[in-house]
Amino acid sequence: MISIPGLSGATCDGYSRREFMRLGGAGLLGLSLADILRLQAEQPKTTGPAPGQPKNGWGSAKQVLMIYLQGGPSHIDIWDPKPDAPSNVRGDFKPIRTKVPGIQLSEVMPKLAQQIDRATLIRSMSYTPAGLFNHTAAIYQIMTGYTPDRVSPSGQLEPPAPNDFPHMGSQISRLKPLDIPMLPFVMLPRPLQESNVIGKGGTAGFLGAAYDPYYFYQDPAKIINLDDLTLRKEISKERLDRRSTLLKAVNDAMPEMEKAVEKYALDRYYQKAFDLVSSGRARDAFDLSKEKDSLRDKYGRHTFGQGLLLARRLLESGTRFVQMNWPAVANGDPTVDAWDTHAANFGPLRNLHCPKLDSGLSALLEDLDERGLLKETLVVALGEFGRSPRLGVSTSGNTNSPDGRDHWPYCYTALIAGAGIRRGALYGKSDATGSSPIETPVHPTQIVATVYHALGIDPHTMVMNHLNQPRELVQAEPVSALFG
Amino acid sequence: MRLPLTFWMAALCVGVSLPCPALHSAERGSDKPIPALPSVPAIRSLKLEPNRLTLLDGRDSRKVLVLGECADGSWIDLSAVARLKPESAALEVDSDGYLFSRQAGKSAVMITAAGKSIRLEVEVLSIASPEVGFVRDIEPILSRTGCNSGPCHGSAKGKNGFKLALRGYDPEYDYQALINDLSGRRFNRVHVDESLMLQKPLADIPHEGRQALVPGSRYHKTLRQWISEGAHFQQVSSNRPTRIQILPEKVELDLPGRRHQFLVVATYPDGSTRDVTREAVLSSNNEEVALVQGSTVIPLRRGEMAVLVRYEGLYDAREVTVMGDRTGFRFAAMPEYNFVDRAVNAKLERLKMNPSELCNDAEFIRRVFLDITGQPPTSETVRAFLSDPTDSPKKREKLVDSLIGSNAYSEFWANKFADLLQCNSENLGKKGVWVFRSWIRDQFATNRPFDQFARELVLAKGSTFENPAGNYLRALRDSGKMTEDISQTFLGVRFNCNKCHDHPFERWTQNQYYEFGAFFAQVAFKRGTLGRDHLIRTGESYAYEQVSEEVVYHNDQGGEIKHPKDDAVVAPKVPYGENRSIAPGEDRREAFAAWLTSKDNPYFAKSTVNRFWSYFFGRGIIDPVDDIRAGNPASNPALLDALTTRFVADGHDVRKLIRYLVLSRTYQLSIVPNRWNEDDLVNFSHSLPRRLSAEQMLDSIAMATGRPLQFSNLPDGLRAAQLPDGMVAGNDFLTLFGRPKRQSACECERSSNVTLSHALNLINGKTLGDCVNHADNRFARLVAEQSDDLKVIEEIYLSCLCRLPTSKELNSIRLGAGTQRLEGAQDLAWALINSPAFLFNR
Repeated sequence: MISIPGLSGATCDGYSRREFMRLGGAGLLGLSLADILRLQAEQPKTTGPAPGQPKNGWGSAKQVLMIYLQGGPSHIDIWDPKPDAPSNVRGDFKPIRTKVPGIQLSEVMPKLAQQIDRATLIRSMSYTPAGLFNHTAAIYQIMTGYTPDRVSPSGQLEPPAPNDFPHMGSQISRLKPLDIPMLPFVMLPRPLQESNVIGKGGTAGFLGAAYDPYYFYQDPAKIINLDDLTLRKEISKERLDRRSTLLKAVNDAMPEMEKAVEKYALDRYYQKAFDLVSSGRARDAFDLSKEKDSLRDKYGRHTFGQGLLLARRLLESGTRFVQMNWPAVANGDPTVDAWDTHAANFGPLRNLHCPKLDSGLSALLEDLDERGLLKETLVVALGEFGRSPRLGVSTSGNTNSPDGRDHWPYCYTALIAGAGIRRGALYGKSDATGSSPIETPVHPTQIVATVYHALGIDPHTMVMNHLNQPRELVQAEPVSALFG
Repeated sequence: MRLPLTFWMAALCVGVSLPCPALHSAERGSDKPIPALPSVPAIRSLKLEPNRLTLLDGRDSRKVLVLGECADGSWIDLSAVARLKPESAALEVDSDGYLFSRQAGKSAVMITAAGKSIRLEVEVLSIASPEVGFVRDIEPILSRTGCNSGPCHGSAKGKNGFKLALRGYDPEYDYQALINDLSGRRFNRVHVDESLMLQKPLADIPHEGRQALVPGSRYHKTLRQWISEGAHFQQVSSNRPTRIQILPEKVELDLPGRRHQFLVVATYPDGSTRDVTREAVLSSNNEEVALVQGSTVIPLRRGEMAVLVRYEGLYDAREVTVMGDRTGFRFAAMPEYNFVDRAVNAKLERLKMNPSELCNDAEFIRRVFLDITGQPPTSETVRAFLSDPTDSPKKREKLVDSLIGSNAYSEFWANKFADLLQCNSENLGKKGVWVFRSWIRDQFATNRPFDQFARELVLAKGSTFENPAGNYLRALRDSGKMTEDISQTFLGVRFNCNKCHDHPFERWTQNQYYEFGAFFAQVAFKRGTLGRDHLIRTGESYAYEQVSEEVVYHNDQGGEIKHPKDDAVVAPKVPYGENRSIAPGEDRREAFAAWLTSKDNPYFAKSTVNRFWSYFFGRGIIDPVDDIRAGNPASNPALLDALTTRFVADGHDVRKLIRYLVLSRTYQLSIVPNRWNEDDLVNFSHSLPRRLSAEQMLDSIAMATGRPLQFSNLPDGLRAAQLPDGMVAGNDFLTLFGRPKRQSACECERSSNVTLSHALNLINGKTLGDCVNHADNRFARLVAEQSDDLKVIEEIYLSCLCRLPTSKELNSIRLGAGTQRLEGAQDLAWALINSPAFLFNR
């Protein structure tokens, strides 16, 4: 039978695993749906972290910007330079000083060096892949908090499926709904992807399609088509309302049809779409022409830079979760600015990738901060892994050129800022070759937990999956020491 | 549930090396509730699987499954509760229920379960303990204990200076690593128990992978014996198993919670067998239906799943049905219109499901028009069909025969195959896409047998203008992409994981990838004489736009595939079956094409009928259709086989195939489920609504509103399905609704989901908005010419939904007067087009 969680209203906003323990004491899995509903009714609105959870950083964020550097950028060549390591590790780039004493970045990030006082670098990101370490599995993990072997037997290279774990943005837009007519969760400017596997980890999975992000797959550096968000000339607001009522009546006359397509969540989409068109709020947010040329130049006139600027506009208009995906996907082709640099790591990084990353990130941090948005916006920038410290070796089974780096999930760097995250700080440390964290390792699922925590959502909140089985948002603890 | 994280944290604090959890993923704790064991019903008799045992030697031990027959003739597994009592002291039973012997000769065991008994005869050929060999005995232990798994010594860098081939795919490498690395210090052949190879896994000395061997266990004893005998290698070719067999053949479980064990038996090149159940890895392909723990399947809910079995590079699967409570069910077969329905009925009866009712004529005409021609019928056609007094089955047949082979049919199927064959101007240039698409169209217009179609594509030579079939290989360009895309398109098999390493979960190997590619290594391209390239300026950048021809030719002087491991030239060889020998200087593709389209190729016809099936039923019998493998079994193998046989017997005739499909009762079932099939998504017991494809949607809007489509630089009135180029710019509607760019052989490149963007576009977008509100469209004409509101409403329903309005609908809608009358008509059309009855093929 098809069950659409979230549609019945009969599921489970805002109760936590601990609540179950305290109230029931009985095995969690023995709870019936009726029990859960009763518990839900009894559960007061959460006002603080659950007992035993850190207080630091709780509820400090209203919104989230995830800058997802898909492909796996080389931590050593960007964030965590190793000038004293052997030449087959340290690579071609030299370190430079930044505005913060004690923090060095790679020379290819000169602009960010002047803005790093607004962010924390976590140099001890690390995990050991459960299966093969390909991109899809790793992307899925950081987006959903779970590894794909929890939903598919092979654990990878499977297209998105309705039983997938939801992207954290989907969970968040459901647990913290917006009270304004705005898009709650936007993903731009292209899907998550590895080879033929497109969009895995970027859907609402078992929450049902209604919680999917709004996929804005256009190039923000070009002219954006906003037709759909702009009310047509000949259609007055009243006429649109009439049409909406008529559509409902037409559909009500075909109940069997409606039931047969229940899983597509058409009603929800249509309702949301009507609201968006009527309010015009989203249309304005997407209109980059309202920004000054000088600021647009500062972000960089490329997909990544303009995408970040667009992200800022969306956040300003109230979007809860924006995900900006790096505009090129893993394909090992050195002529494309994808981070998956199995071949020719250095030239492309210097000339193609890093200038874009540098201008976009630095302009964003400065702009958010100057507008006061950084106070309540949690910004995270990271990829699915770093890259092998040793040049030209194979760690994932892929072939690498002598100047290429392979996948390296054991140690890499994430940038995190805003919403009370410490400014100009380092968290964690890698060893002399950037191969392994030597203090406070952070698992990517802890980043997921930290995002929930910052939004004032207990990371251990139970959510019902499509089979009405309770699933924790994420099985990891937030890193509260990141908050100042 | 929290364990993995803390485990991992502890690991990192010790430094670079990470511990390797020795458990296989299939064995990790489950977070799913496991239903209680249902009580055992009265048992009539017992049977054993296998029903007699032969123990080959003193190290051989084997087990039987004890199955009990219930009153209704079904069988349940009693192995876990059965008591085994040997009739002589020569036989013993270990804690896993395995028999082993201390004396040669014949003996027997009395087996008792659920109050019944049965005798098992056991013959012991010898009790000598044969020498332990690396390939047959030791490598499986390294795999089973997880030593060579990805996180442990099987990782690409090994672990702590000890590296093994991932999951044991290269025994020779592993043996060398064990014997020679570390200056050969892993073995102490005098004081065997002081061997590192024992002390480490036993955790006598610190081992980050924890204790991988239990002292005194079977594996410990075998390893110890191997070392004491001198740690010898074995010839790989005679000691790797050639096949595995899973027992029992068929498993049907009555209720969730009813467990069932499996046995896995390996056969070796010398014909001997071994029970390898405890060393094989068993896993579930659908953990929502059932879990697998060890060799036991634990059903969680009603449904079907497969147990996947992996042993020493061999793979097999066993399907399991979990019936669940079906009290009160009585099978009501659907009338069998043709052989399709016979196979579907059989499956539904077995699963205790009843098929839905027949769809009505209005539903049928829209469904079959969209599926065969990609367009809905016009309102006139619907009226004529509905008022035709001929018997419904007869007029449906007549309709189908008028559609198959029509112009619209050829255009639609050309569009579909232009996707898979990657007809886009980035690959082929502007003229290329026109000639190639029209070639594809001609194949459908002349009903070219599908095997010949494939042969022409794979064997094409000469100018891509004069022989447009050559554009296929031209689009694929290199032998790697040819390998991956030809296998995916014409065999339904994905050959991309094994580019870099042996496929981790299936039987395809890295060697096969390059052997396949070697058939295409000598396909070469050169610039022809026709056409020339234009320099195009876009802003600051210049690019050549390719419009000239290319020539596909066989370069017998060059072009060899080299294996990335050792740079050795790889000879062409097909991945299964055999290709005929290739004469020197001959184009290797000839041998390949003969093998590809041979009647004996088990994948070619089967994957083709399965693909066509999915176009009419919303999912393949194997699904995804281009991912056929042991772990992805068919939901109805008998149906697929019947279709395949018929297709081959019909000479790969696509039109005949389509005719069987759409004239089956199964195709004509309603989308409305009943009590007994509402949980079915894979057995075709009711029709599944399918969102219209991008082209179907756009063409349907054009027809419903009476507005011809306009595409930039193309003739007006062209159907969306007639666009030659996957790259066509300037139609955001088609892109938004999932039209593929034609850069991939994967069906998944086309999307058919519904998202907020789609809703926004349909509510307020330009495409539908312009069509519905155009001053010269169907609705404007209707309102001007027809004064009767009811007639106007009727016509709008007919043109948008291909059916007449019900009297209730007719009576509840008012158009308004004066200028509002047109607005009312537009709004009604708009609402109908936005309803799921329009957006879906149903």
